Amino acid sequence: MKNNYLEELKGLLNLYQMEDNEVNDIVNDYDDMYNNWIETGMSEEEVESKLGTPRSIIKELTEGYRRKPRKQKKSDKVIAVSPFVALVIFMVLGFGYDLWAYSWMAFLLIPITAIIAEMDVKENEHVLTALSPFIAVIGYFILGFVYGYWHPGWLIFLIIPVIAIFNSRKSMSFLALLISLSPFAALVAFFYLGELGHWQQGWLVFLIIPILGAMEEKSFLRGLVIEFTILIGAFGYLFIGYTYGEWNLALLAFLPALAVAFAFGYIEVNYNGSKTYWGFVLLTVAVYLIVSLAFGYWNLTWLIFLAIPVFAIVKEVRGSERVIALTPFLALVLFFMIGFLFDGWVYAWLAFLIIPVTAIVANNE
Amino acid sequence: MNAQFKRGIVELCVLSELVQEDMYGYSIISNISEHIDVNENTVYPILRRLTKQGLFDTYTETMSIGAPRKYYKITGEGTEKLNEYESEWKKFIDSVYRILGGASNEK
Repeated sequence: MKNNYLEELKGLLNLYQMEDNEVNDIVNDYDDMYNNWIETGMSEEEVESKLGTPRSIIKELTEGYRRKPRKQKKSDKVIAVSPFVALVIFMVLGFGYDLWAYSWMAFLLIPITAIIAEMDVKENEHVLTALSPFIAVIGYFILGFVYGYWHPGWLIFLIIPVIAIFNSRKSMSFLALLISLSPFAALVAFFYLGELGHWQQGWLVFLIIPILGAMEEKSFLRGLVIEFTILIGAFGYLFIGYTYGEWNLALLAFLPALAVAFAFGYIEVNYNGSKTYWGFVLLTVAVYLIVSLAFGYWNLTWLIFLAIPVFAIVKEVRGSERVIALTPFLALVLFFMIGFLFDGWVYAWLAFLIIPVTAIVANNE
Repeated sequence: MNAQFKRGIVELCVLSELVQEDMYGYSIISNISEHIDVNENTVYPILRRLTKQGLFDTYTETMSIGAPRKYYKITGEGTEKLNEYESEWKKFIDSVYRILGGASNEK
């Protein structure tokens, strides 16, 4: 944390026409102040909020200094040209082939170009996270318009949280990665089983989450007890359900598993380390199910899953790249809100323009 | 409070702290923040600027425990500046008191 903080500060100071020794002097002073506050017993988060983020203090520190002229990059030209290319494709597809329903997607080229050009593709594995909404939108419309699979085509949007989690794999163990990804596999399996007519029993696939989760248990015996009670629950549930047709009552079969979960203290949110991810994923799934069941807007509520990539980006990406990486998600929410709630599909795609605009503003600041 | 105004006052406070003894950054900030609402982001740039203007010198002192500390020491020019600011401040605050209620700061 401290190293990241100081590195970001140094990176920002280096944008100004300041001597190297002066930059180092400031970084050393902040290093000292950081250590002084740590010595008083503060956590790194508390120290950073006390010192202020590098981005928020840079103005004060560089007062009277000029910014180094920004080198004209090749990518700037590509970004500058992309709106025209998009417009030409839009016109050609629309006027030439009467494909107005798809042609607006040409404008997605602008944010896609901006993201690829502005985020460091080699250094930042979250580029694909930022691009995933576009891949999903394009895939969704192809599935919808071409094949008529609006449902279950929307499941393609699950690639967004899946990619976000996958790209954060460096900060988690393989098992934690599997646990974080399991809800999405379970959701797809749930809909598949549902389509086959097994809605009543299909939700059992979600048990894959605690089954994998229990493997993180350090004590082999405790892990075994949890796995065993979950399996007992599942078999008991199916047995009571099929034998007596009492599916609600059959839920009681999970009482031992629930009791064990409480006794071992699993039913509490843990915000430390890699558990943060799957804790957050579980929370998101719970909110998704509650909101969807309560209000029924299934075509909009999946947007709640976007909280996962947003969480990953906020946690792992810093500086202007973070802002740029977040805009696709904001755009996607706006796009669907305007589309579904106000039936404004004709204008909704304009929401995607906030991405290149943000990328340009963030880089010129 | 207007940020510019506040910075001016903090500048005076920093000079006044250092005229008493040499101090390192953290202790200057914590001393001042006991009385007024300031943090590193206000005080540190002022310390740097005043050092650059020659009002302070810096030197490093090794500690028996922990990393060496950078101490700030007021220069002759700094003391002159402090006297100048102090008399300006007193004149200013007297005038404000007069405007507010005819009373003086001395009371």
